[in-house]
Amino acid sequence: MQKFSKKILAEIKKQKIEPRSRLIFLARNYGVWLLAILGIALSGIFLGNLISDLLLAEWDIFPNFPGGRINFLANAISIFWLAGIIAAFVFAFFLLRKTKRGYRIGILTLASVILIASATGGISLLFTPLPPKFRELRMQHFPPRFDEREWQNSAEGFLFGEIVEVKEKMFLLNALDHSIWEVDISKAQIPPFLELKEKLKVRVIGEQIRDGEFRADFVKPENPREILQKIRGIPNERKFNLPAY
Amino acid sequence: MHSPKTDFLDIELVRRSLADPDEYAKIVEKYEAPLLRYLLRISNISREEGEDLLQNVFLKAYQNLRDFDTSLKFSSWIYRIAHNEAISNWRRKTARAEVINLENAEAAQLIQSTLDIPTKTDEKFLAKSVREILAKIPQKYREVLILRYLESKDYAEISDILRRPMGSVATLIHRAKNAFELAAREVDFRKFI
Repeated sequence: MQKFSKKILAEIKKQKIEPRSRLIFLARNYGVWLLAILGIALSGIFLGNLISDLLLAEWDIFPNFPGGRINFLANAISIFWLAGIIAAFVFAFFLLRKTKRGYRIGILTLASVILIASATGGISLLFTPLPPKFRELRMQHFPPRFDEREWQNSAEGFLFGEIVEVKEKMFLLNALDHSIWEVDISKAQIPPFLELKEKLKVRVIGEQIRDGEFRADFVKPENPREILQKIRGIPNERKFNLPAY
Repeated sequence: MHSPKTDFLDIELVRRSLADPDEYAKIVEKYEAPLLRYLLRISNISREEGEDLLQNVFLKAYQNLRDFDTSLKFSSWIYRIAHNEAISNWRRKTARAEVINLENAEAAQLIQSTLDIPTKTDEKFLAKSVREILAKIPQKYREVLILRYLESKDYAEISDILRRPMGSVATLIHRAKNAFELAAREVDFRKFI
């Protein structure tokens, strides 16, 4: 017995092995925690954006799109944010299990804790001005979503984009595909709270007259709730009576 | 089994080893025999190979001594290092037929705990049968049966050694017993009882 312990001590001296500094272990432990919390925060951000998109979705228009609401739910709205939520969730889950005592917590408990933390973070995010900024980033760097593509379908009477110039009874619109449209609003229904101005994102329903020209029946802001919140005393007129398509 | 007194003694030995490396000999002497036995039980290795593996275990434990969490049992911590070393060694080696190292009495203990076999059963035959059965069941089941029945570790210790939640350990033991029982039927050792 003693012979073996002497061999170990000799080997320790021969290989000049020393106990590693406590700082290395502390840094590793806190590093894992930090990354896990980052994962939960990311999951919350993705979830917040998903909820924001669902709240902003033009549910009353979807029946006019191919496949309707179900197609919208199944194919489009969730893909980007949902992939983010899952990736961040899995990342946080495995890191938390790698923490010093994380393995002691049951899988379901751990998953529930991450889910509740992500949901709390995601819902809190809705009360900040961040979701529109994230949406902007997504639209700049990623392919348009199903419903966003549909809003570019001018032949079907849908247009979405940013106003670049307002003239009398018309405005110029920079669509998502960067095509410029002259939109006639002389006969359009425009919500009373909506002030048409440059850089405002709007959705237009109407008819394509010819290439680059569009006659609007309805003009809606991209985010009516946001505009209504800014203007006090004006009732929420988010819903419009749309004609059957 | 470990008492709070043993745990305190281990913590004190760790503290002393950090101050004076020669004190580490006491930890080595205390855990040398049980860890070698454990390594031989869970691995398909010779005694010499086991001793080499054990040397790595003690060197790694010494190097990571400051990572020892005093809320854990030192024995669980060092068993975890031994377990990881055995797994790494097993992965390094090419696959070959598993022969499990078990003494007759241990085999009897394992099989009787798992299958309620009468004690009159021939011990030599039991040991041989248990070796065969353990070789047939998956590694994860084999490990947990050895820890539970041969190393007499409780669920909390197994949870710390395998880094699994307690609930999973209970499930794993239950499944391991079922797998053992299933494999035992194929061996059909009961006819010798």
